[in-house]
Amino acid sequence: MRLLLLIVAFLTNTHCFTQENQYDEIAGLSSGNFIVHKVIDKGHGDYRFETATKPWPVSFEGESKKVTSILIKRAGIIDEKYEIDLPGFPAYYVNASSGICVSVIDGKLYYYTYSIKSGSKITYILSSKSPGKYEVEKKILDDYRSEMKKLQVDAREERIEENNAIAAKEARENSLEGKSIQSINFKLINAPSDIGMLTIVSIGIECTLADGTILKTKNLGGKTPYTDFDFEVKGGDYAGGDFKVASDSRKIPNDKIEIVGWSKFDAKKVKGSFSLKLNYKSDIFYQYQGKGGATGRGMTVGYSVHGGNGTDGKSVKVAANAQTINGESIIKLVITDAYSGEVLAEAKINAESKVTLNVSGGNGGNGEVGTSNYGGDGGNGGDGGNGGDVYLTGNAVGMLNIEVMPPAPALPPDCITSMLNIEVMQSGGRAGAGGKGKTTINTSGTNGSSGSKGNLYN
Amino acid sequence: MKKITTALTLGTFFLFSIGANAQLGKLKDKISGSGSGSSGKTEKSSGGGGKQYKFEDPTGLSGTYYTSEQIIDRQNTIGWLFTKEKDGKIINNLYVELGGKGYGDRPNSVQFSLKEKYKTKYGFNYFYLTDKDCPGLANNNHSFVFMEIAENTYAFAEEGKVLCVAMKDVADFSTYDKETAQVLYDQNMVKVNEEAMQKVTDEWMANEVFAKNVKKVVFASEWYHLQKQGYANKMGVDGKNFKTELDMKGNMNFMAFFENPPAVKYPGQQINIEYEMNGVKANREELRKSSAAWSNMVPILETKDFKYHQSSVRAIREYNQYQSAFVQDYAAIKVIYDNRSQLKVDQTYSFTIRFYTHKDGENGELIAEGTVTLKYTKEAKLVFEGDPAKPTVKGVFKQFEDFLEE
Repeated sequence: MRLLLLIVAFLTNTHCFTQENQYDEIAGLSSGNFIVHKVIDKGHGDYRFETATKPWPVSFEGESKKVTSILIKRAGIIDEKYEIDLPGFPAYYVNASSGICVSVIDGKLYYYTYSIKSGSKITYILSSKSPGKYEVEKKILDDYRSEMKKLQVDAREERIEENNAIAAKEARENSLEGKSIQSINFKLINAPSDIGMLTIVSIGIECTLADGTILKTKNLGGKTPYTDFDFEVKGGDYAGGDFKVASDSRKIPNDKIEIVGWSKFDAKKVKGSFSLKLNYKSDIFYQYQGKGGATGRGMTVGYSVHGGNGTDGKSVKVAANAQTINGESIIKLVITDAYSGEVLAEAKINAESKVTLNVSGGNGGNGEVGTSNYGGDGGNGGDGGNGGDVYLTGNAVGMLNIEVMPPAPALPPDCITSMLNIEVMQSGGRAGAGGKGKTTINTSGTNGSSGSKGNLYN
Repeated sequence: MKKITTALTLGTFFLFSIGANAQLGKLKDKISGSGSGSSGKTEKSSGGGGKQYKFEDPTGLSGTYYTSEQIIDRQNTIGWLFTKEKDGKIINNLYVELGGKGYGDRPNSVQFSLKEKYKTKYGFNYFYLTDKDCPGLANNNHSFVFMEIAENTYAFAEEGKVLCVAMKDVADFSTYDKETAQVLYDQNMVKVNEEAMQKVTDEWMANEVFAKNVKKVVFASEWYHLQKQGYANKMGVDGKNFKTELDMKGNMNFMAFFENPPAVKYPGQQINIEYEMNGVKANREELRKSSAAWSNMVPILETKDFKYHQSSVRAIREYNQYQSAFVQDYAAIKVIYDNRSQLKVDQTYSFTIRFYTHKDGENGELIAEGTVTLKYTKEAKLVFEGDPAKPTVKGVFKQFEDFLEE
């Protein structure tokens, strides 16, 4: 037994130590025509090799002991080029567009795809030698790739270090750290004609250094990180080169967005600034919908869980007053909780735009399907929440084109272009369905009740 | 000599028995080479000879075609009858008689239609199956096509796999074997697919939200603000709910927009996601390789699963309704955890996410990048550091420390 183990250990070690990189594996081969053994899928995981009628020409390119690429004339008519994976210690050659790899092992050229999860999937073996069973060849190839990955560590580390050094140099060149700054300018990219609440605007930063060098952020084609800057912003948030206008007009002083920025490394704090007036041309959506009830889910022996009830949509008061801002006809909406009086949001909307107000009730949750042998009755569905009421007041109510969903009232089309469109969604929540009983002798849960539709007062 | 004669007789009888017992229902196996041996056997060719069909039409397409493999047992030829016009209407119909006996006394036959677009745009005839009268194809909803690969030479393919070559001149068998036909078939389909892919890309680029955010990572508090459910292959959102600032107390979702689908542009590779906050970086691949616990926690992402111009929605941290629990990318949480001593209530922090292609332990191309501002609110502090009023509920940092101690 001990002798057998020794033999196995010896053979295993011999196999491991005989793994050679592609330079050495290919050294014994010459360019020329290779016999093609293709894999035939017989179904149910049964793969077999079948020899094709025509050989394929293969050219090994580069030095004889340092082949850098392989040209395979597939079926003798299509040129396929495979480039080396790691020149310091190659394990395979790969075609960039198809992802197909080729590796030479013991005189056989394997043509395959490779996944880190499932290993290799061989399509052909090009060799004068007959291939073994598919599983055997796959194991040889998978073992080779796996072993080579370990042996490639040094060469790979070297390349990673080289690449990191290049990246670090580029980062140093483009960073603001340790650099004397002359000026900072913000630039609007693809200036949108309509800028209102929730609009996202791309704004790049150009930084002129004392030596005249100009560094730019990525959205202006440069490589200076946005995170090298500190900002003070008004009217929204600015991150990653994008400014998002606030969803509440109380956060937009003077009806414009403003940014002041400086290098976080600059002791002198040389600042650049940017501002842009808003025309409030953007559609917005306010969501005061009730929450949906939980689906009955418990899998508890003895009973099935009922669906939760949906909650009611919020009832709100909307004060709409007309104003002129930045030369535009604007309607200011103040949305308050109808019961607590809390101001939920303030919005400024161009009369050409649309507001959607969703105060629908939440849907009732479905009851659990009967599953237990001891209590297979279905759980009851939850009730839907009621839609919230909406109260419209203010001097601009007459300018509102109100669309209540559902149902939508029929309005003359010309009203839509001349008035601010408000879509009010205030339907009651859908009833939850009762869970089905497990068997015919079990009862199904009862369906919940739908919530009632909210009212609109104006 | 007597022994040899007996052996030959038995052999011949054996071969005929196999032929006679073969059923048309085995059509697919037959023409895809089943029955041939496992290793080292060569492809079987039907050779010359066979029934001659007297079909003809003005285009010259009709006639007798020899097949490299028998489609129907013991039938080396098939007959084509192409009809361009009927009753004053262009129909481009191809009737193919496969020989042998089909239903009743009818011969096995199939009908195809010419895809005119492929002829006018790419210059090759492509006939797709429209009808069949052949038991061998019963209950088979696979797509069968005849594609022109050379003059009077066609590849007969099922679901993109060439089953045999059909040609008018048997001398061409030496040039166009099944393997060659497969390559030529693939080459033609590349032309078709390239244009289809470009069309898809053009459609994406025509969308303003995509055009503005291509190669970027975008953020939102709700996953459905980034991608419409069931529309991974289409732009289903208007981008109004994309965020540049997220409150760390709640959901922090993100999604990448790609110039090209990684599955197409970077086949056979992986995707690595890197997170950065205040100069502290972590990436999924390095962490995955650092321990078994991390390997289990951070699964491999392969490019083959990134088939569209947008990634699936991912999260730094998100409440999962179905699991009734928060789902977190621990690589992202590690970066926040490593910054924990810097975090102050109501302060904001830039958080950058980068998508790289990745192969053999090395990052490749940077395919998407985005920065969001994370706000550490009072509520976020309770979430991450734990709520003193609820000592039994672990904060995110405590959960993460427990994981690190695994």
